[in-house]
Parts: sequence; C-alpha cells; structure tokens
Amino acid sequence: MTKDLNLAQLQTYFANQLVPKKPASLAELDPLSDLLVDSHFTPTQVFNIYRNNFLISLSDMLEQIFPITKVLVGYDYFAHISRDFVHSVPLKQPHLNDYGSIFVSFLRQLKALEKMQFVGQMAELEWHLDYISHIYYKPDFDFKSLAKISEEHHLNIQFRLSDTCHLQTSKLDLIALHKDLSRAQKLSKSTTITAVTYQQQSYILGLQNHLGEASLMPLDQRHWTWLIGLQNGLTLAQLCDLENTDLNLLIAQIKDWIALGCIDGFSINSSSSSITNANLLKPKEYL
Amino acid sequence: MAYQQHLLTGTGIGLRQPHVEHFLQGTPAAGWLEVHSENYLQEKSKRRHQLRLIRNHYAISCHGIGLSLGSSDPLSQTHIKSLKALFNDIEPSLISEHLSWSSLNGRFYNDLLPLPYTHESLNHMITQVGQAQDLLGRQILIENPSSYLAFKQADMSEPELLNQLSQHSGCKLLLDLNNIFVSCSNMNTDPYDYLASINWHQVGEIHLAGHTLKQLPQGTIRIDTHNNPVCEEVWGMVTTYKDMLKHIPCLIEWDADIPSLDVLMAEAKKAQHYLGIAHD
Repeated sequence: MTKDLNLAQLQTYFANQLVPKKPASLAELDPLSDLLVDSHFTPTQVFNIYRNNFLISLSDMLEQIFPITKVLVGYDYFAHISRDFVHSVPLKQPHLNDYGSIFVSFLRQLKALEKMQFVGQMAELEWHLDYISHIYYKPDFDFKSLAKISEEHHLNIQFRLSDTCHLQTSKLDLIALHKDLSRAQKLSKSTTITAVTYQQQSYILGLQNHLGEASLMPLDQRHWTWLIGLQNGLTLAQLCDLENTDLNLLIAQIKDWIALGCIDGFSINSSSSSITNANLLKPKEYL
Repeated sequence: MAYQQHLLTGTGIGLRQPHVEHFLQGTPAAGWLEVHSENYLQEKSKRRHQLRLIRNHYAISCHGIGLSLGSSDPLSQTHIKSLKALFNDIEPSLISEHLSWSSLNGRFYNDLLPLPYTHESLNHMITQVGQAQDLLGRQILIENPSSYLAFKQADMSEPELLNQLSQHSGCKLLLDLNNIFVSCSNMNTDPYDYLASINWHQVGEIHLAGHTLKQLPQGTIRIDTHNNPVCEEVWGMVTTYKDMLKHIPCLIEWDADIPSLDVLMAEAKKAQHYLGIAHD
C-alpha cells in the first residue's frame, strides 16, 4: 500500500475497511497502517472507533423503531441481524427516514425467519406506527364542500385515506401480541411467546390518535374491506357493490372514520363504474 | 411564511427532541437554538411543524451532517434540494456543515469521516463548498471535526486548511473547541497552537460539548460523544480566548444521554460566565 493515494482512492480504501464484505472477516482487515501517522494507539484501535460509530448509530436507530420485533426475536439475535443489515444494505440517503422500511424487507427475506412470517409482519407494523407518529396531522376535512355536492354525484364520491392511517392483516392477532410484548418490555420481564396462542385472523388499522400518537385498532372483515376499497380509490357506488354493504351503514362508518382522522379528503370520479376487479380489494402494496 | 429575523446572540443550545415540548409551551431563556438539518427534512412531519412554531421565538441555526462535502462523490442534488426547501421554510440565521466526508459511491456511513489534509482535499473542499453555497444561495460555516487518526500524506495542518478554505470559498468557520481538544489530545498536539493558528476573523460560530474517555492499554483516547458536560480543559481554552470568543455566537451541544433542560441551560450559563457575558 502506497501513501500516495489520491482522495478518491483513499476514500475507497477507507470505506472498504469500514464495511467488510463479510462481518466475520473484520480481524483480517488492514486498517490503513501504511497510511496513518504513528500514534500511541494502533491503527486497528482508532479505526474501530469509526467502525463502531457507523454500526452503532444505525443499529440504535433500528432498536428505537423496532422495540417489539427485538423482543420477539430476542435481543442477541436482533443485534446480529441489525449488524448484518447495516453491513450488507447500504444507506442510500443522508438521512434515516426510509432505512427502517428497508429493514422490514430484509427481515422478510431471512431464511432463518422463513417459518416465522409474523416477525416480518410485526416489523412492518412497527415501521408504520413509527412513520404515522412522525406525521403532522391537523384535521381539516372540508365538510362545506362535501355538503355542496349534488345528490346525483353522491355515489361518485371517492373518499381519501389519510397518510396517518395504515392497514394490515395477519393470520395472528398482532395487536394482542404487540400489547403483550410491549407490557413485558416495559416491565423488563422476559416472556415466552407461543405463536399458537395468538392464532386468529386479524385486520388492523394503525392511525394517529387525537394526542398525535400512533395507535392500533382491530377491524372486522367488513370494515377492513371498505377501508381497502377506499385505499384503492373506490367510489361509494363501487363500495356499495361489495358483498354485505349497506349504504347507510357505510356512510355512518365513513363519518366515524372522518372523525377519527382516518379519512382526510374526497374527490368526485364521474367516470367510475361498478367494480368487478378483485385486485382493488387487496392492500395497495400487494397490487 | 415571513418570520421575524433574529440574530444569534449570546449562548445557544442544541434543540433536541426531549426538550421540544418546553419550547412549545414557553420560552426558556436560551439565546438561540441549533437543530440538525437532516432531522427536519420532511415537510409534513411533526418535527418540521414544531420547528416552525419555535422559530417564531428563537433564532435558529441549521447544522448539517449529510452534505458529505469532502467526498469524492458529487454533491447530492436531492439532498441540496431538501435542504434548500428547509432553509426557505425556516429561514435560519446560520447554516453549517463539516470538514469531513460521509458518503462514497452513493453509500452513506452516517458518520463524519476524516480527510487527509492535502492540497488536493483543500481544492476539492473549495469546489464543493462553493457549489453548495451557490446552490443553496447561502454562506455555509464549516466545522472542524474530531479526529482519532491523521494521514501520512498530509501537507498542511487542519487550521491551515480551514483558513485557506474560508479564504477561497467564501465560507465561514464553525470552531468546535471540544473537537480541537479531543483531536489534539488524541494526536498528541497542543490545542493552544491550533487556536493560535486560526484566522479568527473567519469564525462565525463556536461549539462547546463534552466527550468520553476510553481506556486502552496504551492510554486514554478521547471520543467525541457529546454526552457529558464540557470538560475543564475546554473551559480553560474558553477563558484564555474569551476576548475573541465573546463576540461570536456560542452553542452548547449535547446529543446523547440528554439531560434535563435545566442542566443544559446551566451549562449555557456557565459558558456565559466563562465568556464574561452578562446573564439574561
């Protein structure tokens, strides 16, 4: 190694030492010993400060966003997968706003968690709760404009779900699991989770409550179907075409959702027709 | 939105999330506030909204950690655009960044990584800082980093590089006295020689913070953790240079193990005492 590297070469070498191809090979790295001024500390010792800063700052962020997932998989395993994630998945932006969502995808692809899909589902839920809790939301639904819509257009109204709203489904009762693990975590109590205890199809609404905090609400299947329909842009007419839908009940429910801040706007879609497309009843991210 | 223009006067504190509610509910006697720009980039976030409200009562300085000015990568236009939107929204009194790099080939390392102090690095920084200032339409202050290592190929000292950078790019300097002390201790050099080499006319802001001592077999290394009170040696530097420093906006930074606001404010008052500035 020559000490006459240009800036780009030196930074490339430095970055390669910072993020080893395989975490296990850390000890084999040559931490720039030919490039550094001698000091009373070894190159490895000083270089480890940069390695730790990089790793710890990102792992800490993951721990803050995913406290329940951490309890679910165990602290040691979470530390292990966080380290693998930070080393193998580059942070592509100079901020951490989206890095957590990439961690969810990373967890879902882990072979070791293949038979525990609920881990990925819990992580997804935690990511959205964190996201929701950071949005500034001020209820300002435009009731005046809604009242001005002529009766002939009522069925063409498309209500819009707020950004502070998240829909998720699971074959486990994720809300109960989240609640039990949160309690155990607050009490610093170790807990043994048996997935079979929570086996129950669940439909979940995550939303920002009136205190600005993220909260979880269980839904029944009918409300879930309506909300997914709203998320996918169905008009009232199209929602009415769904099985077991009573217009009056639907409108009463929409009023409740507006009050909860779950619906924040609307538009008129005059060109819509009755739906037949089953894809419109799937959550958006799966389309 | 048009804000009342505030000047940075006296001692400010770093605004951190645990204290935000205090500043929304009242007006604690901080001279001014500094935020980390990257925490406020999302336009529709609560944090941005809170900052807009707080901005009505306090002068704000935006301190960036993500521009990666020293990287051989080109500047991220997306990041510049987000920063510009933030600055246009908040109208900070100052904006600042670091003499460091934090990204390469599009990968960010979420840390301030060291530059070799060479003419190549100087010229590169002059170009990058100049471009960033042009794109943002604002003067930037550049902060000296904490160092744990130095490169053999260096052909100038850190203060020399900073002086030339400010002279040729039109930027100002943000002098972090804790960083100077940490770096000089780790490199076995004299922080007072460093201070004597600085072109003080170019210094537009001062940072004071605490650090951590880590015991290694060969001795103690100082790590810039911002999780402790300012150490006595740094207060000593403040006292020696108080005639220079008292005219420059000074900030108490505390980023980890964040104490109560009272503790932070007491640290700010201590700074005013050492600087010989009358308390509010």
